[in-house]
Amino acid sequence: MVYGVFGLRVASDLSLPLRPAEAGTGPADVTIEAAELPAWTQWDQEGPCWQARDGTLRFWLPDEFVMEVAAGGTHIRYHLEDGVSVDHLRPFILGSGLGVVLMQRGVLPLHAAAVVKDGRALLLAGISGAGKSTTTWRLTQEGFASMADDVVALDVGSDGVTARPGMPFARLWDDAVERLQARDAASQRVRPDMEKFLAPYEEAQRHDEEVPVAGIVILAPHGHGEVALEQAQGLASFRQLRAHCYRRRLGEGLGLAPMQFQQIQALLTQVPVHVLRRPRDGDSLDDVVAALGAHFDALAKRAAP
Amino acid sequence: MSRFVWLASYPKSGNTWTRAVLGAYLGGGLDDLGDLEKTTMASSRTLLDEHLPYASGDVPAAALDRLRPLVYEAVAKRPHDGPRLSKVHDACHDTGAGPLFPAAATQGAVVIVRDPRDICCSWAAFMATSLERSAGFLCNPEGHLAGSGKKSQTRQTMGSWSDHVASWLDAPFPIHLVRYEDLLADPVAGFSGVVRFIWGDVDGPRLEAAVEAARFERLRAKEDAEEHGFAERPAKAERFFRKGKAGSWQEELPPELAAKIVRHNGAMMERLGYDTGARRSTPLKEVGGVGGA
Repeated sequence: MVYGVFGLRVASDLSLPLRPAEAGTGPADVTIEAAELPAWTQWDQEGPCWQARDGTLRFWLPDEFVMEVAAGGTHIRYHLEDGVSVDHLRPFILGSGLGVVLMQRGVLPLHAAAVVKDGRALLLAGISGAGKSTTTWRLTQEGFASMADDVVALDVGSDGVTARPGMPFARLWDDAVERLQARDAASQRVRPDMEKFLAPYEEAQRHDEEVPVAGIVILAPHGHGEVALEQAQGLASFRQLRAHCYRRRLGEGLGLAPMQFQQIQALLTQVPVHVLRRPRDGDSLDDVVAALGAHFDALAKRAAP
Repeated sequence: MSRFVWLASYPKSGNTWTRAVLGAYLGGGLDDLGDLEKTTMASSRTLLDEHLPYASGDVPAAALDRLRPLVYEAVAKRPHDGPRLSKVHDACHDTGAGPLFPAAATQGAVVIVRDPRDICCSWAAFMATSLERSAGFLCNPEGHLAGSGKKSQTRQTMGSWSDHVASWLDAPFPIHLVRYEDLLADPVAGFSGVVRFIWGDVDGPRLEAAVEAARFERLRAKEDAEEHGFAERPAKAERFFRKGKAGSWQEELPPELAAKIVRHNGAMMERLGYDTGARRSTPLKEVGGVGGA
């Protein structure tokens, strides 16, 4: 099966919850396949559960799988330990596997969700648990379309920053499913042994084409207080964005840190970065959605000639 | 190579106060309570997500327990100025694939203990729950914190209060045991021992200034003054810094709950020098026969 995601044609020997690639010819950009993957005897860089050698990355979850993302971002190879279901593997292919493919291809993967309105994207960056998926889900009920769930692929040029369409679903924890009343949509578990669900977006709620980026908002859950949005400046905004580069340590291990450094600098000169502080509990979601809607309108007004 | 000093305690035992004092000692002031939160917490998903090759939220809790020691070993290998301080509420246990806190990544542990009857009152207020439930938590051999992947921390295996303390007293690396009550009675002397254990010596005037900067009343006033409150306070708790006193269980805790806590934890309480009778543990006895470096 050939799928289309992040602007890539992805051929996979296991089924994935992605859109089929657009009809047409041409070889796959990325091939996902089972392989033996005997252990390496040498490597250049390593970290907990990963090794890097000559631009190729290997990572593993003990007793479950080993995955290899080949230099150039052309192949993802996986080896499942005996008795482990592919259902356990999928989140890691869709997450770190494709995330590393992007960085190997010179595309900047940001740990963010993306929503689109009037042909421009607003990126919602944040650490795991910051509320990216939940907020995006609510924004699709307020006139925005969802473009990416957990990873946004950015092409950073000197004359513009564009985002490529990512995952066509939201990944929601059980409490978010309840709060959003999304039980019908969220029928499939991310992993069979976890209370986290995959909720596909309807076609009308999705945006499937590359668009320019209007702004980046970093979701920063704080203890308490009001929802507040403020612009991040200078070094602080650089640090914020670097911290939200997807799987930054893997990029460093692959020797891609200098490239990502330049990409962030170029991004900062072209796209405004704001930090949205919100209380840690979920009751503020309506206020967050209202603040983001108003912020997007203000960005659009500023950009208008 | 810069190994960890674990600041280990059961919750509500003075861990945050200790970190406030050590933070002030290191930084020379206490400008922002939010900075406390940045002291790496061993169970923080942010720490795990930064170093693991995938999201900790995609890994089941039992598997994640086995990955945590690998992260601590990797972090300990990175250059850093002096020992790394890390707050811990986990018991010092074995994950099934080795110790959660590996000796190779560990310089030692400061183990802070407090009378579990006072913890019971403080925990009930912190969690906005009943004293009964709080006492049940302290006596539960299956006790754990967090648990589901959506939290900012990963699951932490605790056991009962006694299990928890015993696990740290038996740790296979140097420990420095300190009682919250002794820190309250003479903070400069108590924290001098802690500072000496971590850094080998102590700068007296600097420590006195740090203790002064992190006085309970100041932490409390700071919590009141900060626009967003103290970040570690759960939404339902009225405040994070509540009383900062020893022995207030005698006014707050019904006798049957105090008796329950003693029934389940009496041996360890006595080992630590806590009076298991109805009266408070004064005067504080010298604690003998337990760990210490």
